[in-house]
Amino acid sequence: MKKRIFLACLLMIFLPIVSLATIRPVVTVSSGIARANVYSSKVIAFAPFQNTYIGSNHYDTASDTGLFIGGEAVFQPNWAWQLGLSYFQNSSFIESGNVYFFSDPAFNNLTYQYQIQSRRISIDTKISHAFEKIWHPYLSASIGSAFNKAYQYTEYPVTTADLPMTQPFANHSNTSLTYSAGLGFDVDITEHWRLGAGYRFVNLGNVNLGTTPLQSSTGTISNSHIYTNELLAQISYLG
Amino acid sequence: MNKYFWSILISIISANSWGETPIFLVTPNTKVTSSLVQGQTGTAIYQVLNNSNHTLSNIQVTNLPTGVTQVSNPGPDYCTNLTSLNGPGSLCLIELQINSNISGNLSGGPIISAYNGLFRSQPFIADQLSTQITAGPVGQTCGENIDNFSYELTQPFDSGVIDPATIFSWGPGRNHLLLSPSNPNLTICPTLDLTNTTQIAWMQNRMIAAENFWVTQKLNYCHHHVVDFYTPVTSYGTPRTAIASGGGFCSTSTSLAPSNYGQQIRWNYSGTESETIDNWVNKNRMWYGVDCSDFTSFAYNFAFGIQFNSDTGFQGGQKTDGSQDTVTPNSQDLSTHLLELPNSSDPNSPAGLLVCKDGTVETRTGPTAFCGGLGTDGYFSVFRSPYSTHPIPHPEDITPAMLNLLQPGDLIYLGFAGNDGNNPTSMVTHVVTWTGKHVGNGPNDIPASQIAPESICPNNWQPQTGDWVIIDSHYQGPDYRVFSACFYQNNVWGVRRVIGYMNP
Repeated sequence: MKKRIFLACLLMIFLPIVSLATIRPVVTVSSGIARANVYSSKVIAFAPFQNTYIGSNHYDTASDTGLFIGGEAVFQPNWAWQLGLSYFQNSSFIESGNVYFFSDPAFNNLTYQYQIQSRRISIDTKISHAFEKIWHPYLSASIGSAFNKAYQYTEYPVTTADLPMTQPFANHSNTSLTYSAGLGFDVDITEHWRLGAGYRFVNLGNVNLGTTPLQSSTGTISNSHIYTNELLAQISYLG
Repeated sequence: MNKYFWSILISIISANSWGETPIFLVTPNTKVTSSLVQGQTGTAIYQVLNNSNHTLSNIQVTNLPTGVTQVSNPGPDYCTNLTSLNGPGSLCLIELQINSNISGNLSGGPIISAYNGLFRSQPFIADQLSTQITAGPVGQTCGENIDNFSYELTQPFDSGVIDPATIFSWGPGRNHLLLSPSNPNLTICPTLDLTNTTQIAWMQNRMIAAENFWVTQKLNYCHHHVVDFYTPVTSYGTPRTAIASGGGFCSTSTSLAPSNYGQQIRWNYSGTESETIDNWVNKNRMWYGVDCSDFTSFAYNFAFGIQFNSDTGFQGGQKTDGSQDTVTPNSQDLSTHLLELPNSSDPNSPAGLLVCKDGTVETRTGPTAFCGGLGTDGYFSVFRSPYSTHPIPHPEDITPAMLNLLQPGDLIYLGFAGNDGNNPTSMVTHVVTWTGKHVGNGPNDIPASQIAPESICPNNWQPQTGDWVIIDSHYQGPDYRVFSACFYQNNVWGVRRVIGYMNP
């Protein structure tokens, strides 16, 4: 059902363009770095106690790679509009922090770490303006679904006398709304090939770990929004 | 890979900056030996303390390595079950035995768990089970087993007889420990044949090895009979910190000259992990230990199963009725002041025979009886005849040459006219063990770094290469110390020789 709605939207956008101009197919491969603040904190009940998981407020950098397939239409002199579907995937961000047993900083016995990976399918669009025929500065935006996964929760003892809990928080995947906005430029290197570079801001959406059988509540460590700032290099083929 | 490394490192550093407080503090009372031969049994005793401020439940010893089992009920301070630990600060001992017939080496644990594994702790790394198991067979000769105490350690240290008048102060009495009867059979090793110099030397070496074993456990000085008893927080209505003398007293000494020992608490504590001020003072560690004469009696029991009185004066030979509290070896007389003789079958008799100035031991008959005769001052002592209720020491009576006549394992008793306050009756207030070793770096020496400070010598005191070394329990417990003139040599009441004169 979702796929049908998605395709209908795509056609609604594309059909007017098809009627207005000649469409050049575009395939773009992007790769770069994504930097995100993956900080989160959570109090989790383990009746009759509660532990606090204090994430370390830090930025982490991961690689981000994606593929765009769509079309480009010139709708005004020197103006071009790309529209299509993109798939992006980052390497894992690492969330880390400290476990406070009994929510008491005096019992900071463990540190923890888990990984976050996001895969995204979006409707991606780009509007560019050509200067001196080969330079194409652009604005871009996307909206779609993120398939986020939190996994490999691991605890590390602070001292050699501490030990992690026997049953860690489980891996967990969830789907979330994702969107992005960005800018950059492309440059023609041949009639069919373009190189580009750009920046974009991306909201990857939310992600959370699974639960452990040891806990008495359903709460778990989560990140309500993961915002990334990305620098991407791109190579495009235009038919 | 680098990213993971730095992430973990930053987390650990930031965590460490906030301190370290294991939920359960698991500290060794008796460390397991670092190596075992297949066929031997290893023993480790740990104190487990609920270090949280909370009542915990479902506490268990978990994940014991294959071949390691928990011993049930070895003594009154041991956990009957770990649920007794549920209260904040509550503690008890666990004893583990290691069957060395398993393959591979043992390391890690024991792990104490609560709430099905939510909270888990183990000893700090230096205190965890760590035993290398080598292929057998176990050496069967006496010489191969000088420092093999595996069999002794499997036996309860505590007597099953409970004296309700002292169980919460002096604690349980010692259990009579037995030498290994087989694999190896060490019961054949002790001897009363003084011409068997090989076996006499074996006994001397084993005695020093036994005391060395307990020196390395870093116990405190306490008025207790056994090493695995701690003074309860309240002892017969008195807070243990208010006990100034008598049963249950433990030394609260925290520092003494020379200051360059740089000690934080116990003089040879590292200041890290389980060897901290907090652990010593607040986590019960300082409440384990033995006093001087309980140490010597426990050590002879541990080494051979030889038993004698654990009271200093009685162990020295004074009568238990108090009538000889100021009698010295040289002030004996045939009427009322004749010191007691040992009896191997009486665990409350004196320790061996008195030593004479010429290095021999006293006899009670023949031309050399009483070290050349009563009234001749022939005993190894700074106190001369005749009898006086306030004898005056003559330090010049103990010459350097005489020290060469002492033998490893000899017990040196110190006497102070009017007593020094620790013992309200007898003038004999301290006993030390002669090691026959010197301060130095030779194969038979004791390095200066292992010499404990002691509280009575001058502030500028330092161990010097060549100094004689004794082992005794005072100040902060059993340790190697220099046989200094100012405290030890100048106050020798008498010397007793056990080896060759008492049976297990």
